[in-house]
Amino acid sequence: MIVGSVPTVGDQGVVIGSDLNATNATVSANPDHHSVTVNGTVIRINKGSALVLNQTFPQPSYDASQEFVSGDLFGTVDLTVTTR
Amino acid sequence: MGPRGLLVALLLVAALVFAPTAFGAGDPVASGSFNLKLSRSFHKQLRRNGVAMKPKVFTVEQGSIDPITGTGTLTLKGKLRFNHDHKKVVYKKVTARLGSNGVLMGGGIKLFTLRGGTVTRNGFGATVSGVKVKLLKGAAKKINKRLGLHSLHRASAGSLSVSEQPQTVEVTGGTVHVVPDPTLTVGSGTIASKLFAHCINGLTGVTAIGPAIKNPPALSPSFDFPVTGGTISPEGPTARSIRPAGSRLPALAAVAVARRQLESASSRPTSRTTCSTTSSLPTS
Repeated sequence: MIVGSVPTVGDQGVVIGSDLNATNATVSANPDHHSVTVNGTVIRINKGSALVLNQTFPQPSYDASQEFVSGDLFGTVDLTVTTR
Repeated sequence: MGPRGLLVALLLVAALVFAPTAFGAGDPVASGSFNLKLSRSFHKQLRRNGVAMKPKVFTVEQGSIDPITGTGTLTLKGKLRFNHDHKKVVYKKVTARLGSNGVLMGGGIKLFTLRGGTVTRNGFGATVSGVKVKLLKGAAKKINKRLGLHSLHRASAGSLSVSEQPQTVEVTGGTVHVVPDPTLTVGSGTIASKLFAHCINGLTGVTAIGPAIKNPPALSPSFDFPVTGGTISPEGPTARSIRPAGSRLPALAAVAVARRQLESASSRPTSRTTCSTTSSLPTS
């Protein structure tokens, strides 16, 4: 959390959420090795994240088209996990 | 007051983060079978009294089992019936508790004790076999009364086995590999295309806090996050997005960060008209 008029130096621990879309992700599970991989999940920021980013990093010269908005594409996620 | 660095943690995949389940808890059962194998002596006891006990095989309706210890609770589909001539006793809501104080219940009444057994892994699930089944004295008394009998008694009834596959399994570790989309074209709708307007250096302004790591190359970096726990469905994204339990994906150990340098700690950001000349944090 960032409070006050003077930003605190260091990790602020601001947590922002993202929406994950696994519609086109590929999933493979290996029952023998107890592992699961999910590749190609798309990450897009949500409304709350856009707000945090815009407030934390405001544009010096405001351009509405450059504001972060819900649905902006961040990238993709590949998940590889082992299970018990 | 001199420039202050502002380090804002961006939990890039925050939607993945949920409190991990306690290790050792049971995995919710997606499918399973419950098989009673009556001992010869119990079979004789039933036959001697003209009693038929059905069914001996059940499908698991719901429940959870720890695939390591074999403990858990199950709700079985169907009813357990004892027939004698034209009389019958029907137990609905058949449930089983495996582990310490194991018991098979019907209609809220303890019918059989369940003791012992061995666990073997069956893919993501488990098979619990060799569980000793014993008819309880109280249950025998009730069945006798309902069927007009006198000689059903407490006895070893045989053994049972349970084989199941889970809806979700507990995650023990892993990695989330995040690849930011590098498209910088204005209007492309990517985060990368908007960073510069917000005075964030796309190359150096986004980094990782350990144990997360930022991977080269510098022009198109990616990030790795250790996975510390959670649950996941081995069935695929559909199952994960629809089932509440399946949406509990791995918790991540660390976060990536975006950073830039403010011109003045006391100045309001909206009063600035240009970005500062550097995007790196001041050393202290």
